[in-house]
Amino acid sequence: MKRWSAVAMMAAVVVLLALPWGVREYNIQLANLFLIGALFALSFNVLFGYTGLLSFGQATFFGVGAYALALLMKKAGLSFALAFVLSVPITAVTAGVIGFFCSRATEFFFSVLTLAFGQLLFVVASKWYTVTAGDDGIQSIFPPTALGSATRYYYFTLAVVALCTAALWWIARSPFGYTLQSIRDNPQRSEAIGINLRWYRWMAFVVSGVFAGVAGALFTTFNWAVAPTELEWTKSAEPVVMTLLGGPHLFGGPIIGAAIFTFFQFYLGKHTLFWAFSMGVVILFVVRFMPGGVGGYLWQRVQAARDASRKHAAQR
Amino acid sequence: MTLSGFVNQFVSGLTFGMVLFLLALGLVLIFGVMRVVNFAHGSLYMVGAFTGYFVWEWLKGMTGSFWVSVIVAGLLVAALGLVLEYMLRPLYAREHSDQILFTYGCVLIIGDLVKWLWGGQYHSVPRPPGFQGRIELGGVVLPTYYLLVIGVGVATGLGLWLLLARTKLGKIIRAAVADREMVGILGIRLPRLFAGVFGIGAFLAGAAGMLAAPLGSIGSGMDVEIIVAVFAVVIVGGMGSFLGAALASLIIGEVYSFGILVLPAAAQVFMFLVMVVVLVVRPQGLIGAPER
Amino acid sequence: MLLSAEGVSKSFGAVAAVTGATFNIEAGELVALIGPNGAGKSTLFNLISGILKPDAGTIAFDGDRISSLPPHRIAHRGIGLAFQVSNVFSRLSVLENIQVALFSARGKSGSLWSFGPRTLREEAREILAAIGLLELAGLSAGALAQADKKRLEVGIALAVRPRLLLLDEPTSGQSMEETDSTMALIRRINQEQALTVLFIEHKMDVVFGIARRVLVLHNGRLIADGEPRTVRANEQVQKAYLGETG
Repeated sequence: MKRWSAVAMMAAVVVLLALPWGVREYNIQLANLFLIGALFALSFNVLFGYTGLLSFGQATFFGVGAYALALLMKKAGLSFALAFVLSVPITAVTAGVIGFFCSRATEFFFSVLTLAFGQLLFVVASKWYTVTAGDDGIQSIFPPTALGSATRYYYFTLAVVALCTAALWWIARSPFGYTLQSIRDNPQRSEAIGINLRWYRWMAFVVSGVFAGVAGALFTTFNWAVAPTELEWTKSAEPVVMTLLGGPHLFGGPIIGAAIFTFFQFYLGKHTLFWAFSMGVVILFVVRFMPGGVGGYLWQRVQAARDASRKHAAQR
Repeated sequence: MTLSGFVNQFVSGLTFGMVLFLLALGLVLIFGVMRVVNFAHGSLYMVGAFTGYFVWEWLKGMTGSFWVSVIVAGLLVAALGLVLEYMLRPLYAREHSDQILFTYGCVLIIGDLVKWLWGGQYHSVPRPPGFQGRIELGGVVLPTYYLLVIGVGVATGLGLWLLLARTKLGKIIRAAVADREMVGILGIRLPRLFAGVFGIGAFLAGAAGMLAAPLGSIGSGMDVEIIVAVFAVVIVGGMGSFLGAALASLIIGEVYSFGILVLPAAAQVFMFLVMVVVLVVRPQGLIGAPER
Repeated sequence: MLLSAEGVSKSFGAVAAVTGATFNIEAGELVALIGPNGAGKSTLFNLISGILKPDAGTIAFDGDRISSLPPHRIAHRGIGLAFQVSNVFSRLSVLENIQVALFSARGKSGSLWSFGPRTLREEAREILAAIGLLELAGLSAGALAQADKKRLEVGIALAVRPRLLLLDEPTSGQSMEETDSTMALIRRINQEQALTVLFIEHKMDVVFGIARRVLVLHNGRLIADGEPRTVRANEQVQKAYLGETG
């Protein structure tokens, strides 16, 4: 089993590294969006797949990271590198504050609070004209010339996302990650073995927010502009759909989901009237018929095949 | 602030609170009996507003057309609610997150459908004939429509209380809230009960949508705006309590109304503050039972 | 005195689940808590472990008041709890279930620096061996048979190295053979590891087989407290049980 996933991973890495060669710029940008989406979805899954918390406000931190980078570069005049690095603690503090309140709620209340905070920040971004330029958003945020071409920015994104993915993988495999999973599986039992639920949920929230913020920052200089739509609740639905599609119970599920999602996004067109509708339909379909997502489904098939071959070997 | 001004704001808040109350009633009813949180409740409200508006337009000139459209809106949304409930059925046995995700998906779908059917612009709905003016009560001038909405809200509250306390259906509902499995064992057909309850909740949401339409404007962002306020009510009042919903609706309505005076662009902030404070201090709501 | 309860009461609305419970448990004891259905036994456990807070009275562990502490702090003080309905971490493997408990016991729950699968792995395997689940170490806990889940449940509770172990119906749903081995396990951990055990049971042969002291709860009140033989002969106790079936 491990061998298969290692092979699949290496194939994916090779494809990702080699991608820009001989490929149209449009597709390089698509791949770039995929990478950003994958990180966004992975950040969501820290809360959902690992801690059992359904957040409908992931775009809040995506947006905070995005705006932080934009404002630091445009209003504070900082260099891209410095602004990018500084956007991380800004997102972390925001996630810390919002997470403090959200972690005191469970299940439904948690989801509602994340949605509510998301709406709050969306309103702030839309109305606080003096700082955020309101609905117009902030334009002309260009990456440094070293990352000026689509290919170069793609490799930059790839590097950052790969680093973050590795960090998230390590976190998932650490005792901290195991503790989160115990909270997901059985909060009562977890508490009975001495785990402070509120604290860990809070920390999971901060981790999740930070990585969403990095995705947001990557998006800003990819898109060259940032607008309040990046904080809208429908944006928060995107990592939900990606994760459900790919499977919340596999580490790589959100990545698979992001790939499928980005693929369809550009065949259906993001700005058509039916974008939210399509996302809703996908959610309904996956929840009803494929709760493990595509990734979960594939995993089950592989498991079944492996068990079958084991049985076969034992019978021989 | 003058006394007259204060009373004006208070009544305005009470009116908004009544709309929230109608919505919260449905939500609490659905949750109490079915243990399902209907994220799509705000969407039902929005559909009610739009269908009501267009029925009213279509019936223009007919006497009582406004009231007809309120009822029709309620009925149409109740039908939509029954469809939703039917689709939700296979998920009752599943984890709560699956149910939440399902209704969340419905919000996305309904939101886009409304935009497609009726466009994304805002419409304003005039008040019905007979209630377009103002009335003076003890030196304070109040719009008559506000008083009407308050009256409807109180009447509905009383009506529901009577339903729960005196009728057979009400007894079944109360029993189901206390112990769902027992009710099933007693031979009451749960699917029918669930459908009925969801239908009633949806009717209330749809009718509230049209009833509230003349108070502001209707548009495609209504669903999320109102659902956050309704959730605030339910969080403050507790998920299992009708009385809590009533009290909390009043509180949230007033907080919003007076909040507009302080921060006109973002009165929602104050609703948030209340919601957050209650969650920190008393997570089970002011009256609701502790939910772990 | 390891655990002491003084006038502990808890009501849910009009229902008084536990009233005026007063008892002490010394270190090393093996005590059974029995009583007819609905007597308040699980409520009492929940009060001791902190899941519920008493309306009146105090509970002290090792001299310190614990009645107002949150459950996770009480767990760290040394009270372990195994639930009646098997409560395991279903998506984690059997081994990981034990590891998570060990992490908590060693204060490593928040650690980001070690590689989870390898951390405290040997110790976890030892515990699995002690409860007879070693061959199933890699299986996901949700896939276990009920009886095995029960054993894992006990294993998780043991992994935090409690000084007082609360077991809620440890042999429920087990066959005669399994019951015997669970009884032997309880006796062993009480004697070898000097672990104080308080367990709820319905099977009288288990109770009188291993308990050295019996507490009887009826309608929320403690009606008897003493050696098994004395309790069995107690008239009130007999009435309580007979009254239920009569």
